[in-house]
Amino acid sequence: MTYPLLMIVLTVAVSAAFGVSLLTGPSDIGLAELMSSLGSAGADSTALILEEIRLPRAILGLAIGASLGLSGAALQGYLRNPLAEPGIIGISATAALGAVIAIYTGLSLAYPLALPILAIAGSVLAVLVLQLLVGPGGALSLILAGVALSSLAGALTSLALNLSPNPFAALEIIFWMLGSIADRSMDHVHLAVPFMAAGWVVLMTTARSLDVLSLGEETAGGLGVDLSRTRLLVVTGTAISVGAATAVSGVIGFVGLIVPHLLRPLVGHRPSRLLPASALGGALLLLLSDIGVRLLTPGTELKLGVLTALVGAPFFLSLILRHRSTYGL
Amino acid sequence: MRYLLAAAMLVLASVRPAPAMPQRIVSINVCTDQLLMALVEPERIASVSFLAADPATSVRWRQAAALHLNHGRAEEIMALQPDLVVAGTYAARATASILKKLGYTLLELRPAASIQDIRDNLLTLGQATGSLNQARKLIDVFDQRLERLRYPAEGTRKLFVNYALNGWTSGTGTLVADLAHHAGFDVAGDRLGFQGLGNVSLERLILLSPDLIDLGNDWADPPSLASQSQGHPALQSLLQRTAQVSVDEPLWSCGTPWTLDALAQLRQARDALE
Amino acid sequence: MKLEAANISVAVRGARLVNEASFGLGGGELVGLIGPNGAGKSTLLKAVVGVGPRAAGTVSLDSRPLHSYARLERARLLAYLPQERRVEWRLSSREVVMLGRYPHQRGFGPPSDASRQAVERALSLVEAEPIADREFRVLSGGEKARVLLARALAVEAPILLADEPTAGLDPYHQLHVMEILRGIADAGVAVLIVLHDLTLAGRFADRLILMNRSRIVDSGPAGQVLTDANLKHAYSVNALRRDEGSEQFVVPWRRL
Repeated sequence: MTYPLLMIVLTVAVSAAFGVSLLTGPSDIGLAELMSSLGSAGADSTALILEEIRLPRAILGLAIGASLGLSGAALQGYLRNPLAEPGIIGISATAALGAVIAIYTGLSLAYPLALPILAIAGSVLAVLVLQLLVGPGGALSLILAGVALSSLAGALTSLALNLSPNPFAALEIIFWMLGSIADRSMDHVHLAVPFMAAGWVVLMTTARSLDVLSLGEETAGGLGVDLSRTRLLVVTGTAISVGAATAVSGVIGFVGLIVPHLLRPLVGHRPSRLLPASALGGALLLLLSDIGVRLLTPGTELKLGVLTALVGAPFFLSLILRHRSTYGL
Repeated sequence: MRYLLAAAMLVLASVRPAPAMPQRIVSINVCTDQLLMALVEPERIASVSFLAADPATSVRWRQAAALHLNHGRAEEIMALQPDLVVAGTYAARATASILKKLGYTLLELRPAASIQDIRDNLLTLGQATGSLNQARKLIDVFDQRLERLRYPAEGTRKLFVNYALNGWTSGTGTLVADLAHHAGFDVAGDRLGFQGLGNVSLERLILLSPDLIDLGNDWADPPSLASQSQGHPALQSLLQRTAQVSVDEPLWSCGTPWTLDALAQLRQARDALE
Repeated sequence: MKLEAANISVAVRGARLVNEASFGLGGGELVGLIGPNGAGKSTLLKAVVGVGPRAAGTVSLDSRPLHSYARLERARLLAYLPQERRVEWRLSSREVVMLGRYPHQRGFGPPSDASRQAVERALSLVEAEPIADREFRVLSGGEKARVLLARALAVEAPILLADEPTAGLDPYHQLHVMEILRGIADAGVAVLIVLHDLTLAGRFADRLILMNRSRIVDSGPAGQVLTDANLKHAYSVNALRRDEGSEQFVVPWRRL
């Protein structure tokens, strides 16, 4: 399959999944109703459900999936490590910690922007710590550092939620650990999507530098790649998009791992081509997963992260198995 | 939410031999606390649970504040040397089983899931505490008031949804459902076909288009995702075109004589919908 | 184009890796940078290119300081082939060579015709057309070295700095690589290569620069640099010298 064809197929698939997402829910709303309702500004139940419940859910599924897929591809390209993924290396968990602090202290009530900003600050912190601990190609140390970071952030998140006098806070640990986009509102879309989109733009600017980085840092430096600028862009782009995504959805793991890996052979292994493809692929995977949780367990919806982990974790293990010799794991 | 907890607190009544007039009665459950305070003179109550003194969980919190409060731990109960312990299942389950093993007289009451259960619990507790006459007196007053509040059976039922945080709402076989039925309402469980407590998504709630909504305690301070979800634009939009009622939760989180205050509020709201 | 490096010093954590090194390199010249392990050859090369640890001193191209050139402009003028031969991801040889065109390309579009032609020229120069569409990572050591050399040649810069381009190659490929470098030097490119093989260095280079213990200790035509005294002092070896037609060659013979 040629690259333009792949991109077209992915775009069509994402659009279709977006439509199916709008049509999926406990109430039967047909395609005709969907069409007529989206156009009109009526206040009837169907319009309300579509515009205020399903539309934000579909938009967030698309945007969060794109953020996770894109940042996974960018991290793998930059770190030259096929196991890098925002969830596995602890970026999502620290973003969730930031979001938890913003929400449960009441800060986000006074300043709604505090939610994405603190989450982004959390992911920036994670990337900086990882950079300090891990050199290029250090697959094992990257994962170990990520595990430690995830556990620490997870423990602090649990602590913060357990200490909250609100009896519901402790129950919400599961949301932050496993992620969900059920019953999110347009407020969340307005709050998070602009940040995510900014992150995508930043990450896309690194495309060609990532290509050259596959020859190693010295060669890339000799070819005029600004290494510290590239690092800054990857860090910022990942932190902004993953941070904003996690702020409204909790931690959704493995999307950034599975998607780039499946698409890499289809784009001819070039990191620059992998970026936009992974954004589309991530959007597709998350939309499908979110449709899945609604169909598989209607009523008591499974958390989104449960589904992605059920698929992603075995995938991750098989990747480790395959790369064991390459990376001395 | 407290309603849920309270519902889980009581178990099957199991009456054991007790002195005809126990003098040092200890209750370790917020629902039995309130029944006890309704039936028995304060001098015979050695202790009630600390939740009984919390306005968020108890109707009789002022009265409880004057009593000794316990946290339902076996050691502190034993130190009180009770001649009757009244319990439920929640939290104090382990305590109840230890006390039973040590030979204390234990009365366990099941949670009221209907108006009839309130009468039964009053009678059971009245008998165990030697206050049977007081119990009968209370039930007479209760039944007279119930008759006044009852919505005519031939009237059409509207839909009442108590929509607690995270979408929890009452199904059939619950005290809330029984109260709603008496006030001329169905609950979500009647329409969707579920028993006990059920989780109803925002989307389903909108499709049900209820006539009356009670959002319950919003637990807004300090915040949580659950409390913030009540700000969802879709819910707000629904609320704009739906009547609302706000029943004080302790009134129906435990089945007590005061539960009829909740019924009165529902009935009033039903009349307003005509 | 003329490259001028003056008083280059590199210190890492207090250790002087390069000490006050100065040299010049002109178009059409093939210069060998020789010296024992740890003499500072690779570090000097990196310092000139501007990768690796921070260096003191000045590098200028045609009398203009290198740092005054824009990053990509510098990359277009100065091609650099480091020792590392690892390529991440399963790129084809042609894609690897195409990455050498990075400083010439702008935006996200497909490579320009000029770039495509440059890549084909480079591939043909190293005789790598047959392996152009194969995955780089499965190539043999000799094939990899040639493809990476083609990557550096595809920059089509007037100056080429190559760090041990013949390392790990069999005699056939060593000679092949040296002939290619000699050829582009003859075509006007200024070429500086780090070499360990004194025989190749003596045969192909116009001029040798000898480094020892972080300093440049001698430079000049092969015959003047590969003296018994220099070899003894820098390498602790002696050498056999023979004449073959018009060429003189040196073979390191015994440790001293």
